[in-house]
Amino acid sequence: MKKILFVMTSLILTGLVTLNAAPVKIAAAIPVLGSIASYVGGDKVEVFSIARGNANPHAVEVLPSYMIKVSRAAIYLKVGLYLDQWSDEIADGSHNDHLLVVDCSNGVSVLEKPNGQVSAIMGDVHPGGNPHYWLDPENGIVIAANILEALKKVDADNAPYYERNYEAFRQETEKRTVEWKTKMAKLAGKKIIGYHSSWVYFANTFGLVIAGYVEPLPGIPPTGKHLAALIDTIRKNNATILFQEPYFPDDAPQFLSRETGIKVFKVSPSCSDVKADSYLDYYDKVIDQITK
Amino acid sequence: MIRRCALFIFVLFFISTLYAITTVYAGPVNPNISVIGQIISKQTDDAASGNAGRTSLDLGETEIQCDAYLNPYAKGVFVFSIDEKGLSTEEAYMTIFKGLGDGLGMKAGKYRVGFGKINPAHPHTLPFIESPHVLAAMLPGDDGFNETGAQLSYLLPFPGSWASTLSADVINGSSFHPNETKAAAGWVGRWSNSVLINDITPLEIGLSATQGTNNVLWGTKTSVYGADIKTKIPLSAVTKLTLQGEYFANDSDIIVDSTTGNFNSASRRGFYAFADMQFWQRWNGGALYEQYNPAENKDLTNKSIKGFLGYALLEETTLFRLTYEEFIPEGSAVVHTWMFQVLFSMGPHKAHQY
Repeated sequence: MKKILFVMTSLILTGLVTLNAAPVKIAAAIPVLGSIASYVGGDKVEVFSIARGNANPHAVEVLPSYMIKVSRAAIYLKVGLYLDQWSDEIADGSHNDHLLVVDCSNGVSVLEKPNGQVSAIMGDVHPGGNPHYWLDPENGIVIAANILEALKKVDADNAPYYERNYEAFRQETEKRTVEWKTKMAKLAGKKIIGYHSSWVYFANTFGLVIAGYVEPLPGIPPTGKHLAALIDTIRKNNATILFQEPYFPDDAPQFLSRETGIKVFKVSPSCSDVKADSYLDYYDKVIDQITK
Repeated sequence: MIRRCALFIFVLFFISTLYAITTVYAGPVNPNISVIGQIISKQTDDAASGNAGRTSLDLGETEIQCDAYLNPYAKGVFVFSIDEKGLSTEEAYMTIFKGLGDGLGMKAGKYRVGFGKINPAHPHTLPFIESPHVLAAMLPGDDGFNETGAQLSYLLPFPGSWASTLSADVINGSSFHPNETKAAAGWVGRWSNSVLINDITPLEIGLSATQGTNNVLWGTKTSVYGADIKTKIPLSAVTKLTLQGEYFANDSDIIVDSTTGNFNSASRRGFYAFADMQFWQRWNGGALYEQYNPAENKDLTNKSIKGFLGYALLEETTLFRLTYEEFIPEGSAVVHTWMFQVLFSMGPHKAHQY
């Protein structure tokens, strides 16, 4: 009898331990948030991203398949600042009573906050400011802090582990930011052209100056008149790189390249997957490309 | 039995609502308000329209949508439509998406019934200007299958990316008997499934059923069953192909003698299928084919072929659509119709590309 009781108690305790060891499932709106979550969460989290790295984050389709995946998650990381309004639909549609939704924009330094009333006359402007804030590594640290707080809420037992990982991420990011800034110093003040206003934070951090955009206003396709004026802008400012997101058409950038010789750098403003090193390696890749 | 179910769902709904309200104070909120307007130009050789050979230009239905979170557990939606008949409440409902238990959701109010793929959608969200004729022929309701009711839904806990939802509605049923004022409730059931074929290509398959009383005095029924399928295949970063189809089966008992209640059973079938290609960032084009047995005579078969082209300017705030349709009613003259539509919207809810 005592043996049976001992075996049963052991089995129950083993089961409980196994349950407690199940990874915390995290759904991230975009891979950048997922990558940072993987770094902070380490081997105690399982992360997936709703949007792909090369997808337009403004317009992700709300699919039931995303909702069922989020229904099994403990944490949902949204970008915020009105970039991913589809995130709310997915989170609501998951009918997940235990889901903790984290707005990763809390506490970030926001650029291009509109003054006064915002209206569609300004194009597709985001009323909370430019939402591509993850392209400033300092904001990456703030994102990591938001994720840390969420993990401590849902998995308090492993708080010390997450805090160590957050600290490691913060130190690594600060160290590499110094290296990146050193590499980018030779391009300080260099004028670039953007397709869409995704690169403001990157330019601000690394000393580049955005001389103009292919879109005359956010979300507005370029007209012939605008492109003609942009050719003048490129020549006057000696802009040599045009940053083009992969989900925009090639015709306008290719036209500008033919007319002015500007180099088109086709790059997504997000890393491609949710692996722990992806976010920081993304900066390496982009900076290596534009400094060579 | 249906009345008992309706009573049960309403009691459950009100208890849940009271619980949500008493435990959380949301404070004052402003709803999202959007207005979608449209201008339609039409040229047809349909003698019955009264405008054969002439080009008409009309302000189509204007839609005003208000929605907001009511509290952390529920959302409210109001949709008002303004057309030549005046102002009407197209939809006014509340959904509870959290707090009922994992996977459970509730909806109550007046809404476009979730039968199939096109009926629940607002027409301005379709890639073509007007809904296929087969919907009006097969589903009850003069202006779409739109009912006051209550719905319970459950997102089944299936593995992977397989999202499977069961939903059941108890409805007022007036769409089935629009000329009678006496109440006779109906029901709707749906099983919808969505799975990712690869990371980004969804395949959606659904089954729907509904039944209501088409003659309250004699208790005769209309039942409609449907199957639907849809996929959106991304071809590149800016191009994608949407394929969609629905099949309908309508079985109705039609009164032939109103003094005795004698009726005949009529079975009618119909389907539509369309392909819509977003072939450049803001451009889409495609074709739709449909055929069905009309309500006036179940032994006839009407067909329609439609081509459509769309251009979404400026992030969906302005959409231009052009359609050409060849409507082939059996035993009658073929009707050719050109339509051009300009859709414009303000506020957070845009006139979407489909």
